[in-house]
Amino acid sequence: MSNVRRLHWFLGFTIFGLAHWFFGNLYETVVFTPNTLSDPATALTHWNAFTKVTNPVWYFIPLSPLTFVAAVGAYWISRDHDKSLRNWLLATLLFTLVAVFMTVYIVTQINLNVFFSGADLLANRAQVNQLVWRGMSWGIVRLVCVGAALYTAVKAGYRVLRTGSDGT
Amino acid sequence: MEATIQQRSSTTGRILNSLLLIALVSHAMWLFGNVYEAIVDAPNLTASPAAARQCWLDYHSVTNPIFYHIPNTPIGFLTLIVAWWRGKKSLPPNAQKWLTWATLGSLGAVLLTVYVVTQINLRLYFGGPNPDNADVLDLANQWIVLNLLRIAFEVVTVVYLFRTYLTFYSSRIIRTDYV
Repeated sequence: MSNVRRLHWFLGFTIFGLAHWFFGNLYETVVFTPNTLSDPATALTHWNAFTKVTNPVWYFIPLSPLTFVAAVGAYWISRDHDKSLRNWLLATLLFTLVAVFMTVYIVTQINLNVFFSGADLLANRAQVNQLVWRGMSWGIVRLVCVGAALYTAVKAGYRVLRTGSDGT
Repeated sequence: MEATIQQRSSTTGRILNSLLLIALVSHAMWLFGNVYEAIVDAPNLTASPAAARQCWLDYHSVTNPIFYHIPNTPIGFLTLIVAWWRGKKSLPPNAQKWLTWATLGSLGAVLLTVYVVTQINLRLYFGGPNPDNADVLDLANQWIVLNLLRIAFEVVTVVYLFRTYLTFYSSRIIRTDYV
């Protein structure tokens, strides 16, 4: 497979994966967050009782980590291409990296405590409130980061189209 | 070799470009929303169905999935119809064919959505007498199967819309190559 075709595949996968990630996070922000914020401990008790078979982890794993790998691959493959394309791909990679770090923080510091601990959330209302509000703030910043990564990846895609197949 | 790149710019071209882009983003949003529901929502209704349904209703006291899909889905569908109509004059023949497939896929997904909302969702999620375990399980299973079919329609739409957009965008690029 030629270098250009490899770039097409890696960049295409990156755009697909970021769109999947972005709209998944957007869905949660619109459909879940307002319900959780209204009365966090009660709402999450209902939510944890509902998600006995699957939960949001199933949506994001393994595609979101693979998206990061694809973004790294696209940047690596583009090393012989023009500077403008490289800059867009670098921006994609950096925004995706920040989103990954934020996800690690949100999962380990917040989600594990309110979704997967099995603790009685109603008995710790104040702590749950604090965690949920912190998680929402970081979640919105992450949504912006993933959106920015998607935007820059699409701009890189436009650049590939506009420079043609040689890409030099 | 270097290339100077220009974009053919006409009002008609710019409008069609915008219509295709809006339709593509809107249908991608619709698709991933339905995928999210297929993975995260529906399977949970199959274990202890009536209790799970009550937990879902208790949790969604402020917003629910309608907030995500409306007005995005109708806007995306109408934009695609307009793009298909306008594209008949200005798209290359193969792109016209792809856009027709995309429009048919979207139409199929819309018709399925009307059926799912009126025949399943209104009973499963929004009011009515509380169904028992067997009713909820039956409705949830119907929803899962029909939603998979809807996702298939949406995939057809997004794939063909993406191909149409790439072809149209590329056809508007004027390349002047020189060594």
